[in-house]
Amino acid sequence: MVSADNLEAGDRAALAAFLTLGIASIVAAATSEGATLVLWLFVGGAAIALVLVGIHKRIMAFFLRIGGSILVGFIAIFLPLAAILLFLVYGIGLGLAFAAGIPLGAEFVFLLVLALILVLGNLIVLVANGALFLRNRGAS
Amino acid sequence: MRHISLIRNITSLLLVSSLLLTACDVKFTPDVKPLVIEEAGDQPFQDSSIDESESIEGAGDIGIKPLVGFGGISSSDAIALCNEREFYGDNNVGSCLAPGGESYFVWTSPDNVIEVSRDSPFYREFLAASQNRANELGDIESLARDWPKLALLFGEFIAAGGTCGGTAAGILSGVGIWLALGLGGACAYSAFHFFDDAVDITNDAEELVNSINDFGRFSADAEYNYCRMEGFSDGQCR
Repeated sequence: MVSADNLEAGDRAALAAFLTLGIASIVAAATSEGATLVLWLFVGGAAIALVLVGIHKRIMAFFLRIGGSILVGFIAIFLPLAAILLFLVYGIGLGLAFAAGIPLGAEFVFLLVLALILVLGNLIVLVANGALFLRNRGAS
Repeated sequence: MRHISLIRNITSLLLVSSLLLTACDVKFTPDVKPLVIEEAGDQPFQDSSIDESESIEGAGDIGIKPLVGFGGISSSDAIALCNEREFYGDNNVGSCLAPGGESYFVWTSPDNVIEVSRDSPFYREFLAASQNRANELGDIESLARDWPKLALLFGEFIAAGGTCGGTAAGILSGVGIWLALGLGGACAYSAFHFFDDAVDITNDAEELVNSINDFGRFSADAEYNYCRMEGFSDGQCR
């Protein structure tokens, strides 16, 4: 039961992480040029394609097999947490710049909103996984 | 015909009467009270410590031309008038050499343009502040545009977490030495790049905060010198 729940939480975290990576890479492509642009498009496309074909579930099943439910539980918490910290720091940096009255262009408003959406998405996953683990701990 | 003659006579009579009246010494007593201008009291925002002669005389000494009536001109118009000669800063805070080459158009907001003499010492200070401000703005934009680094760092985190976790799990569960070795190599590679880029991003974040602070400082400097160029005193501009 715990393993199944951990796997479910791990799947959710991996799904969010791959989608975050996919979106972040496509946005990175939009702010790059030349070969880097192509590379980012490839990474972003690959991340989203992996999610669509369900590779993230296989990866989590593999981790569950070799590392057990503890490894999967660890991933389920730390993947969304890392994404939250990373994009939150970016959002705070841009927010500080806007708050200081720095005349940044509209593209940065878009990046700020996107960073906050990624933070919010990963926060939802973190809260859902945390609640699942707490419920399991309470039940056992 | 009679009517016309009568009107002519009356007009002549009135004319003669008025001439006679003006010739006499008429005593005129005005019925209007004389206007008394009262001294204004202390103003709410008046700084009593300000020496009024400081701003006006100072302005004359340093060759600040009186503000030209540029009502309605925007910084974009000023830049176009200057033909972009000696244009520094940007549309929000900047300056350019006015036609004729003897003065500069200066602004601290797009619709607040004044003209100052090119010899003004405050202009030199303003120029330095506006250039530094523009440089800081460029740095901030460049740092804020570093989104790809975020994506890279997150990708490296996933790779490092997955491979390092897999290595540890592989060794502990005894899945296989070759799998553990393969994952271990990938773990070392991705972890190294992850930490390298994490240090880079931390430095960028620090630089961003410094640039934001410097931008504020240079903007305040530019505002101060603009205020001095308008002819206000040090106390009024601070």
